[in-house]
Amino acid sequence: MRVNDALLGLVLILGAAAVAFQAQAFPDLPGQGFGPSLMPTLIAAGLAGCGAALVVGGLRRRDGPWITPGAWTRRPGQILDVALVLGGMVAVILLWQRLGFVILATGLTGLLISRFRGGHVVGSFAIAVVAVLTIDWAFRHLLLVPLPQGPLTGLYW
Amino acid sequence: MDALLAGAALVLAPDNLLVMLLAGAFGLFVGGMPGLTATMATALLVPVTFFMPPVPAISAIVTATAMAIFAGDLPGALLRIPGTPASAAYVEDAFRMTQKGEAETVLGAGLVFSVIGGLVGAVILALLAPTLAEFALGFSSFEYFWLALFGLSCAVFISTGSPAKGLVSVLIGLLLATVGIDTTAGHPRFTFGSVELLGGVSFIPAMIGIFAISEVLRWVTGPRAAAHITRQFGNVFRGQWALFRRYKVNVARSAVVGTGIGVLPGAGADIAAWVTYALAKRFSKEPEKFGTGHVEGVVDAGTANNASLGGAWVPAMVFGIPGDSITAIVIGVLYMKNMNPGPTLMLNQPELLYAVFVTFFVANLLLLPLGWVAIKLYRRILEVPREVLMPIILVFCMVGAFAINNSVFGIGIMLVLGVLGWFMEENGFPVAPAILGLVLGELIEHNFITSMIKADGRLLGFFERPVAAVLGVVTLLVWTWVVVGKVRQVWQDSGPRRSAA
Repeated sequence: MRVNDALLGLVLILGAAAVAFQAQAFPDLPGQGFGPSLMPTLIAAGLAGCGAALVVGGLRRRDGPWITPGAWTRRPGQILDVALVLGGMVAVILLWQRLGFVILATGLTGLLISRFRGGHVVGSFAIAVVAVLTIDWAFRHLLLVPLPQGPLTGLYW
Repeated sequence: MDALLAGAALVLAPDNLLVMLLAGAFGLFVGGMPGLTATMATALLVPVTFFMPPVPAISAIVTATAMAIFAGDLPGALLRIPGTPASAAYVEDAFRMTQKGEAETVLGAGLVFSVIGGLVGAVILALLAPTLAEFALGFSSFEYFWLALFGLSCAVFISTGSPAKGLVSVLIGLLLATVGIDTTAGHPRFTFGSVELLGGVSFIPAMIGIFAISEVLRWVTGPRAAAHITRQFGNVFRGQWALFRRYKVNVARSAVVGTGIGVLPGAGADIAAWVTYALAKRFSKEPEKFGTGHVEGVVDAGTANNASLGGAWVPAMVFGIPGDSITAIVIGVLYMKNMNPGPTLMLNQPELLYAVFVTFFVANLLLLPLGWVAIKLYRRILEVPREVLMPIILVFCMVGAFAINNSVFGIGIMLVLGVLGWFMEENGFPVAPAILGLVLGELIEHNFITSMIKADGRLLGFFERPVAAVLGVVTLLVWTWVVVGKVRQVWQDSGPRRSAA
């Protein structure tokens, strides 16, 4: 998805204004005329300057639409792929503790593999189970990362 | 000498060699897969190296990246798809050589000259780093501030594309670095009431998001052509000695220039390859053959991209300022192990610095047999379907982002920055400067505020020490040069319009 530079520049200017506004609430260092607000304010000034340059450049070169959707947005299958990847990750974040790593990761990996391969559901989930159990074993046993197990707690290694 | 022997003993320990072998195989696999980069290899390795002692962690990263940069030549030569951006400069020549039936020669040249470049880069690193470290011991906050600013400036202006977009990328990185408790006053900034954000934006999840998740998204949204090769390869080493004798001046020039570009903060293997390819064409006796399947550019750029890897570690180890996006990740890893890279590393843990030098030698020597095996097995590597690989990488990334703080918040950071990185690249914003900004943000701010306090708020105080003054003037000159160049370009572009009016 390509967005015209002028529009991106405008967003940057607005973002910079918000950063600068919030930074003014930070207190100064005792006895100094500056403090934690200095760096964010300078960054905001830089972002606003770059935003202005992008607005000028974008308006000078404007010969197409403000937003050009990527070729993938014209293919419903690929829109679904993107939705599954992003939605799957959000679902993993939300259900991480409740369902645990193995259930969530196997579900997501199996779903995505079978989707990308255009079928082969059983084979895809078999690959997913092997891959996820290997990752789980390596991280939980070798590296001692406390990956949550959810309802499967105590059922396997 | 004792430190060198101690460093060598650490690197040559059997378990460390095993780590290097595994990391080497991993690097060859990732580099050889079209679309997966050496930086992504490092990003995927970090969650594992996080749990290792420092030397195996560094060895794994050095070996994987050296292998990945070479392996990027394989799909470039055989499929016209550069495996990593560092192979893009000479992909046309390499592919046309394959079409002419010279696949063995071009693959062998990629391997042999990668090894030579890597070894020269390692020698320069070993010679330069201790000398610079001694010099840097006298640095104060003023010098560090200018050095870090110079590094970021190089990252902005050397990166391909518009300088304004490079600068936006750096500023986004710097802004992310300000999130959390401020180190000078202890005041929370941009945390929006979140306890998780008090500690700041975790570097590892951010980096996995920007370099790995964005790649997965690019694959999901891009065309998915399957790549296959059917042929076997003969002896790739035949004729390489003759090539070396014929192009020895090229090899020497590209190894030195490549290492030099690596030393420059912000410029990495891809820029080293482009610059030395252009130099090779400029000084060649047969410039008209470039782009038609001529090996000279492959020799030059193949030498330089591996040489730059060693060079990039010079500023990383000596000043704590990354030479490229890979060393930016390494610095993040070292900080997390409470080993602050900088000149004092030479005083406090010299064996670690020497271990890095030895690792570079061993990794580049390992490249010769492992690279040969990779060429032989490449047909099989390509057969691994990316439809299976990408979902597994996705899950691996999630575990890695979780493992750093054992918090699901890390996965959230990874997802947000992954989408941001993908969107930025889609719109021509380079992402590597953002990572440099994130890594250097705290260093720059800390040294800036400390210097401001020392100078009592006077900006001229930043130029009162000789080295600081030189660094400051050089940094300002870089900015002036770029701004004046841009203004002149805009003026010239609008010339015809003005005369038409």
